[in-house]
Amino acid sequence: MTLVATGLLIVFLFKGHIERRFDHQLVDHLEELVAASEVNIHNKSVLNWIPADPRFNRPHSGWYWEILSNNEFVHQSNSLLTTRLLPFSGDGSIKAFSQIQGPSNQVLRIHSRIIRLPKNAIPYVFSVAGPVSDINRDIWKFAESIVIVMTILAISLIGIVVLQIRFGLKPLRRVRENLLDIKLGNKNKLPTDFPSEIQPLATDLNALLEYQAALLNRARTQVGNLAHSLKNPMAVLKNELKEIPGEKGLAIRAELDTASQSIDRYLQRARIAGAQNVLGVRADLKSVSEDIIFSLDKLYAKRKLDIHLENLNALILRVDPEDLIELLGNLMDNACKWATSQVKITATRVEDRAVIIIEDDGLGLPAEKYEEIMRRGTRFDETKPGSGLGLDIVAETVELYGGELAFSASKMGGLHVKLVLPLAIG
Amino acid sequence: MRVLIVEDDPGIARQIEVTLREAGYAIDLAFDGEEGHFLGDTEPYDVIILDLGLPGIGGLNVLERWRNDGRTMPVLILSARDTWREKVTGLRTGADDYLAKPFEMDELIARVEALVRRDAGHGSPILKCGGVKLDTTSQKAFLGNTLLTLTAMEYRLLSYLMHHQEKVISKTELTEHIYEYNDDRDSNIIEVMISRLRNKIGADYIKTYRGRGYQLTADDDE
Repeated sequence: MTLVATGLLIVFLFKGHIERRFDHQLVDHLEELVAASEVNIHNKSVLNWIPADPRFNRPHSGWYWEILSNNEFVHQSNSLLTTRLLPFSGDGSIKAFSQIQGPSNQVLRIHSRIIRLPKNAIPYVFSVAGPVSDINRDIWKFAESIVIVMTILAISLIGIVVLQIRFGLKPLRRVRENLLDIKLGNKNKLPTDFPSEIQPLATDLNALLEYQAALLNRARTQVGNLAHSLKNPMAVLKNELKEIPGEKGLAIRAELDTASQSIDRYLQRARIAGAQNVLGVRADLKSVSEDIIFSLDKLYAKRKLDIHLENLNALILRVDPEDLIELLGNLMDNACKWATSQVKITATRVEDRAVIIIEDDGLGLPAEKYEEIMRRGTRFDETKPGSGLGLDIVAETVELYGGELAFSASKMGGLHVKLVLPLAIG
Repeated sequence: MRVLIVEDDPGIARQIEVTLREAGYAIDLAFDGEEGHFLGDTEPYDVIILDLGLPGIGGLNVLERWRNDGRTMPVLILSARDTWREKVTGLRTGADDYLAKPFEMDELIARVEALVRRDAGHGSPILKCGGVKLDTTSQKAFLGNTLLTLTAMEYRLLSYLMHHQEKVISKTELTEHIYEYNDDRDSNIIEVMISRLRNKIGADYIKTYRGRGYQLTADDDE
């Protein structure tokens, strides 16, 4: 828009300039004529020379001159042939510049002046005319080049603007990319090398992220502290209960167990929910399994269980290590509780997932129990002291990672637990 | 058998203390990491029950120092922290067992008992030496099928000897494993108790090696 307006303005200004130049040209020619004119002794006007411009000699070229005296022409340019330039006007009033219809239907701009030559009383009317089309032609030519120039200018301006936006907004795009990284868990804060216009924003965002992380951490720590601080009095109460005999004791014990399970459940859930935020996570199945087996060997030392791993090499799971150790720890612990002498853990890669099988040679469970054990609050065996979470939370965690958990009967005799978890990419 | 309880919660500490003492153990208590570490470092405990969340030095640090200094007594971690990561860390640091709070007292006793037996190289909860039988689960001693009536100290003494049967055990060692830290230790009392024990189980089972100590043995040739 601005460019079009600017173009029009320039053309308009140019037009004025061209017209003025044209007029000057006419004035120059007229003054030359006047200079050439002389009144001779017969009181006749004579021209000492004829204007040299060839256009005045070409017939109907559009360039004409004429000298009138008493409304009769005294001299005229050859280009006029015999036609007259100025119409006969009786009143003798003459405009300095005007527009007339000339020979060959040309629109002419004419400059006329009344001159009294020395030694002669009669005024002469000198006129010089040139074609308006010349002016228009010049203007059009100019307008054409203006359009070209303006178009080039417009294109380059648009290009520059696009580039400017692209480069100018590049830091903002980087902010967006980094925020995405943070959301994916690959980073925990924005870099600090943004241009000075963006850096305060990045710094503020970082502060906000830190604040949020601190808040989350504090909430999680508080939940943990609350749960842990409740465990000591719970333990004391549980043991004191033995002193209370009969129904009353049993009732209190049941309530206490419920409370104790709730604490475990929500503590566990708070932990899992924490790890869920981090998506760029990976855990080495083998090293986590070895850690658990090291522990189980000690915890079940008196039972001399044979716990062995097969094919766990180089399986990196897209699971938070803390979540994985809880999942496997609980499933393997359950297997150990039930095993007679053997627990076997195998894993295979199936496309982009790892299929982990945990089997024992215990008594197993009847098929109709499979559903039940995954339900809230139930453990494999209420009489054996539970360690950690119930299977419902195991199932919940697996679901959170888009995995699978299935039970069936093992060839070894006991329970066959199939756990499917996503592998990390690359 | 002597047990150290390192636990900052006095309620739990007292309960364990009472229960384990009833079960025939000599018990010492420490309420913070510093004291716990010192006792574990200087006294010969048969089992240590260690809490992790201790004021001062944390339980894991205490355990790590003991193990670095070559202390090999069995340690059972008793903690409210019950994630597998925490269990693994505790066991890798050198604990022998891990029990999460809240716990069943019977479970704790069973595990302490198991640790004591394992350390002494016994598998079964019922220890036998000739006709003498010690049921560590019920804390009862039998001669043949007759239940023996023993005082607490006599039980401790017999229990230690049964766990370490066929070994010659010095009076000092016996003193260290049946007396609590604050007890008045009188080695003459050991002699008195040994003779009373001989009266109850028969003189042949306990041999005296002058200047070296006592041996509980089923071999009565000599």
